[in-house]
Amino acid sequence: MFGYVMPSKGELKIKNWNLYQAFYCGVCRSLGKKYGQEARLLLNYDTTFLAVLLAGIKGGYTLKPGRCLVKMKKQMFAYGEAIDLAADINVLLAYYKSMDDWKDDHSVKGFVGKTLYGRAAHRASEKHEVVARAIDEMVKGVDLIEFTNNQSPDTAAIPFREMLRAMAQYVMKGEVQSELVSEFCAILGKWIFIIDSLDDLEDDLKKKHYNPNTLQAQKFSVDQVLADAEQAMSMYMQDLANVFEKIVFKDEQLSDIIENVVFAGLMEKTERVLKKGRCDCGSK
Amino acid sequence: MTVAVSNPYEVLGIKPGATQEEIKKAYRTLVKQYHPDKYRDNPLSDLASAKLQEINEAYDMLGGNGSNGGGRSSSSAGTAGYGGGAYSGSGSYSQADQASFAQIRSAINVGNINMAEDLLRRINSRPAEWYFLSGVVAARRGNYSEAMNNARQAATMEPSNAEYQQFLNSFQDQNSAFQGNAYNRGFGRGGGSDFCDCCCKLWCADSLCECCGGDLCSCM
Repeated sequence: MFGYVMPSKGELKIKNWNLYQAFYCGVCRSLGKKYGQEARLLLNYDTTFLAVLLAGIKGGYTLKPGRCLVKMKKQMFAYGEAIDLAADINVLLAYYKSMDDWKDDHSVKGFVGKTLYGRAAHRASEKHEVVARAIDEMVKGVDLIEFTNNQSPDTAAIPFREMLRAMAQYVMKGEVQSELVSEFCAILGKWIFIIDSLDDLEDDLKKKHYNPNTLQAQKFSVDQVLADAEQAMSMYMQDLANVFEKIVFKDEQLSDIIENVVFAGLMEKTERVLKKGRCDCGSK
Repeated sequence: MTVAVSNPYEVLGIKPGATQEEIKKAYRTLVKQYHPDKYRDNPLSDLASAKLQEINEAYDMLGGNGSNGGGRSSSSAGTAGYGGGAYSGSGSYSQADQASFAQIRSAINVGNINMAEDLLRRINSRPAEWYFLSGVVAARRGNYSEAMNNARQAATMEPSNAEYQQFLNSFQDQNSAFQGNAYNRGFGRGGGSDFCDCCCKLWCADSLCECCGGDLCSCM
């Protein structure tokens, strides 16, 4: 579920790339400060995007130079409410992910995550009960979908979509654009879930795990499913673009980064997921 | 209850020896025209449903409804090339279903997606048309993966149906539209050039290879 929402680096201005980096490192620093150094390992691009989105709409972030202990060099860090919030949500989502890994195939990674970050997740969930509840609801929904072996990708995506909608409603509470941003996140959630299911399709078929595309792949072929999905995916992106155009951003530079994600970043990811193993001319 | 139909061609308004395609087309037009829904609060409703029944009867006689009917038309019009097409694939394609499909289409046309969805759920058989209409409904809801899957299914079941093929192709257009949108904002390579680009490169590579005495693609 992680690592699908990020900008296309090649299409980004260097000043915007640097700003994006400052947000990435800002979320990382916030994680370390609030949840201990080990929590920095949980950092992912998707919650960085959440921080960029929130700060872009609400404004109110500052940039300060600092030294990164991992990269051993001086650079800028973004500070602000949006970044802290994204870090909290990052912990909760990552904890859910390791629980899921553990439950699925008892992987070592899952076990380590589950035991190491239990306390951090507990603290984050006390602070943001609404988010924790949204994740619980999603887990319940996904269980039901898997239990009934639902074979419509759109229906299977509903729990994940609604979780992101609930999170957006929570972080945008009382704001004028709350509805619009929630819709944006909901469509994005659907896109994430479906691209993830396509990414896992071959693996799931081999291991006989649940996947909403199994039936279609058996009726036709994996290649056919992936080829068809390319067109469906771009239609979700068009829906996303339509909502994006309605949102008013306070910060122009951050709005450029989000535009990049909507029009180029997601497309690049889609191509990489759908064309893997068949032709590597698209990968950089 | 059966209605006595003396001349099915006359009922459908077509010449004797018409092809399956023509029969189907005439049938569709008539079903739309006499559909009971159109006359729901109308004094003509009884008349319309009687007429509809006559049409269905005539259609059955001409073999439009499956394998065992088509005596006259298949002998005279030579539908051999059309083998397995039309509605024969799914077997049970009852008149009631046929009427429901017409009803679903009109619900979609007036934008009543809830009603169309509800009607689709009540149909038990799964002919190509069911998949096609489910696809249309899913697309209206923004459920594009489901729409695409259904479109693919319908087009595979009835490859010769232009409507299903067109629906399937509409996804490609939408994809190009989004890429064009992105291109207008200064991203990417522009609409639909990907495939051409790939072919072009392959052709160049093949030519270069052949210059040196090798052959990359034997078919080029």
